[in-house]
Amino acid sequence: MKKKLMSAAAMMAMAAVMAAGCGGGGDKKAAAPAGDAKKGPSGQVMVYTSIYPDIIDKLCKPNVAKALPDVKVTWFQGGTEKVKTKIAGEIKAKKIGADVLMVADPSYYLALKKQNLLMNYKSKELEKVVLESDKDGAWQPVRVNNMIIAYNKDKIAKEDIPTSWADLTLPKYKGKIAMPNPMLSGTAYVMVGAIAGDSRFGWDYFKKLKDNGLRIEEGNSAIQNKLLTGEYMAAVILEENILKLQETKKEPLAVCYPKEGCIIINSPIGIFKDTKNPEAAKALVDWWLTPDGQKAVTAGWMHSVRGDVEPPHGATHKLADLNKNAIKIDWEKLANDESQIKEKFRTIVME
Amino acid sequence: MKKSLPRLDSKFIVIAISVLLLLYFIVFPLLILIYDSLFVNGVFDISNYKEVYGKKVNWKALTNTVQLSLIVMVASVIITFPMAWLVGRTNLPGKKIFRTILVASYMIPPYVGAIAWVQLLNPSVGYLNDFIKFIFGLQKAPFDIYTMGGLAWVLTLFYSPFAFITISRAMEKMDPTLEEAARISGSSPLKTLWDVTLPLMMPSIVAGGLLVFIAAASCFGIPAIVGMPGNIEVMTTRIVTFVYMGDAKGIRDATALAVSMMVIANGLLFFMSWLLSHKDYTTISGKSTRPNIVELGKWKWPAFALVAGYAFIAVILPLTSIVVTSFLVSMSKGLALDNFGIDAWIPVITSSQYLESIWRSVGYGIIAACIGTILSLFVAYLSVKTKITGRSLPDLLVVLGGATPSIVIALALIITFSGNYGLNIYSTMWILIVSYLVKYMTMSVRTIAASLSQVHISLEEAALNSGASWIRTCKDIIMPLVAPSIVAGWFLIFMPSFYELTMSNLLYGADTKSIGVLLYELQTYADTQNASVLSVIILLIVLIGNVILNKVTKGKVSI
Repeated sequence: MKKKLMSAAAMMAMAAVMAAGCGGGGDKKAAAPAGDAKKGPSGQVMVYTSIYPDIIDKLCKPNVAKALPDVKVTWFQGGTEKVKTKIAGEIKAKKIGADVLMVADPSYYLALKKQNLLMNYKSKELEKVVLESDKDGAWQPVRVNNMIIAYNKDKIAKEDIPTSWADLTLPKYKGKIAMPNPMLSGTAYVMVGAIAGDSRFGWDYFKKLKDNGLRIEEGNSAIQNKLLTGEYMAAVILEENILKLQETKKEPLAVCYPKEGCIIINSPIGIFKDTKNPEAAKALVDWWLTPDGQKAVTAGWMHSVRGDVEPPHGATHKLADLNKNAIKIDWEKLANDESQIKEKFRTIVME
Repeated sequence: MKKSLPRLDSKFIVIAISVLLLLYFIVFPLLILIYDSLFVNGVFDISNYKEVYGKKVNWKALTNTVQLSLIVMVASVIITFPMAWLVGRTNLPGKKIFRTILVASYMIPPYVGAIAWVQLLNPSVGYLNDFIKFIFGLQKAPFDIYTMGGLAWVLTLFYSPFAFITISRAMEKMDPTLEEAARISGSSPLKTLWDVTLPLMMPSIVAGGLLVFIAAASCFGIPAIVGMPGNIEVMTTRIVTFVYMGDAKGIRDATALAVSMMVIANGLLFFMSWLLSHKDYTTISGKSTRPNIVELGKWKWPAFALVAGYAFIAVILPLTSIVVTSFLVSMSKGLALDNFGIDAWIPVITSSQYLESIWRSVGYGIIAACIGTILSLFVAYLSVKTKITGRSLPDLLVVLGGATPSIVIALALIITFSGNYGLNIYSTMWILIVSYLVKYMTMSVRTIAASLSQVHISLEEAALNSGASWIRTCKDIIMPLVAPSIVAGWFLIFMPSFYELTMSNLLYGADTKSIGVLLYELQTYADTQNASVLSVIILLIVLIGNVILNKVTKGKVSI
């Protein structure tokens, strides 16, 4: 009897240990077979990306399968900051799980390049790309996020529609303006760095916004919601969020392209040096830059980096026009002074 | 040969194995992270601590967190103790339904609930504010959710079920003889409650309070949604800010800050155990086991109104808001008949990935809850029922995990279990399950420990003296006596694991996408409406599960 119970206890403990242990073989991602060299790229590729999940499911997966039939692409999708955090953990563990990285914040790529973690590669598709890419090829732009001001057509009087960044400091918006938290959102951080670095605005602009009752929200979704309910009259947000609601749900939101210029964020794609399958990783980067890949970008309501692809539905301006008077961004400064810029913003606006 | 082994051994082995598992899966990763925060390339360096604690904002966040969590803890106990008594020990009308309703708010993912409250109580267009303004002809909105008060309110509503579950479970199992004695000696029901029941329930009240404190202090979703627009910083928002810097320094700063949360939570646990250690709280002595039901008499309907009122405000109102949101066609148009439709439901129910994720998460939650409950039982037993030196150490270790912000746990697990230290479970379901255990086991340990401390040692001794082995004693005597708290403990792990978001978001692999991750995607990238739809589905699943459980076990087991 006792023996039985003893072994039962031992079994249970074994089960618990095994349960914990048997997952050990799960990390098989890097197994890239040598394959037939002449047949083109094959094997597995892991992509970490912040591009929208529905776009991955509806466009990326089927189209990549068609373009690169022998490559098995695995997509890990998460917000830019989550992906950055995951990679920070992986760098510490000395085991980067991704082959290809595709997140929103360009300054992050500068930081990665500095740590010598990115592989240099210049895609042949680059000649059609109208935006700047890294001179060594550590990263290339793949999609454009655009920070703008949005408002709700149904909840705002015609004369109150904002037209410029400066408008947000007007008393009529007092307590009814918002922006996403730059500590938590990479694109919001770029907006802060860009505006603070622009001599027309500087940090003084954020002081004025603070005095005008600027609210800081966790992310874009909170902002779009509160624009819908009328809690905010105008808010800083990504163009793609607004276009999506406008076009798919027929919500009465509209985009104001500020007179002083938009904040154009040319989000890059890059390959990690540690990749076990550079052939396939390069082929995937190429695919993203083809018109086919760029259609996935515009289907996600973002602008294409190519000159020959139509802007997303509902966008009233073309990238080329927006780019002409876009606010100049010092990416080096944004990459080097991240904590100082964030801290400065926090002390000015969030205290 | 084994027969000659002393009886204590099976107990010792089982407990030793549990402790080893805890050490390996909870303490080891956190220690590695703390070590990394203290040493840079092997050189002792605490400049990050100096920098982090040299900043006023971090101190402000710390005091905010402590202040908020204490308020929420006290408020939760004050609200839930009478509720638990009314629902568990009196002839309150509709008490079964109330019990389900009162725990329902912990089945709503907190971030979805927080959005609902913001919609109800924001100062410019909050529905409830507008309603009150209209009724009383006010000029200004009476409530502003973006304040410390608003934050405390939402946290209390979402975390008080932890206290309710713990307290009401213990209350149902307590020995009524002392109460009967008081009643026979002429004490009124209320006086009996105050003089006898309340003191006897102290371990459970403390345990419940502690759970609430830890949950409130380590919550990120609600402060981010409710506190941020009001410029209120708490520890978790600061920690996430550091982590999101996305480099090694950010992680070190975050850990340095997170350490103080681990210290506070464990300090509080220590203090409370010390407070309780002077008295004997055993109330289940084996003589009589069915608690009597108090007749409320003329207080029946006032009590009903009180509980119903609270249930309405705390649960029905936000739930309605979530359900209504899920059926709106345009969020911009508000409540109008032509604005209702199932537009937001279609993408959710027609997509296979949602259902897959739901079942996947159910699976992970069940595995985590089963392993966690068994371990919790041993840890609780060790800490409450034995006299071994260092018996409460595992308990403290479990609290260490529970008090650590989710994002920090996730990082520690990535660093530890991706192969550098032997085990590699990165990108598998096991790393998710381990993370849930690290974070939520404290919930069930507290509940079970509180309940165990009320079981008199004489019952166990009787069984052992009659020749039963310790395992048998556990199975036949101890487990049945604390069964309600085991069920409660199981759900306290299952529910939060089921919709966990912060850790899952960093730890999931391409094939292990959980429902929390999907909800997060919906909430950030799609829209709140789809997130509301998913919450409604989750709630339906849990409620239906509860009904089935209730039917199958003939009312003995339910949430």
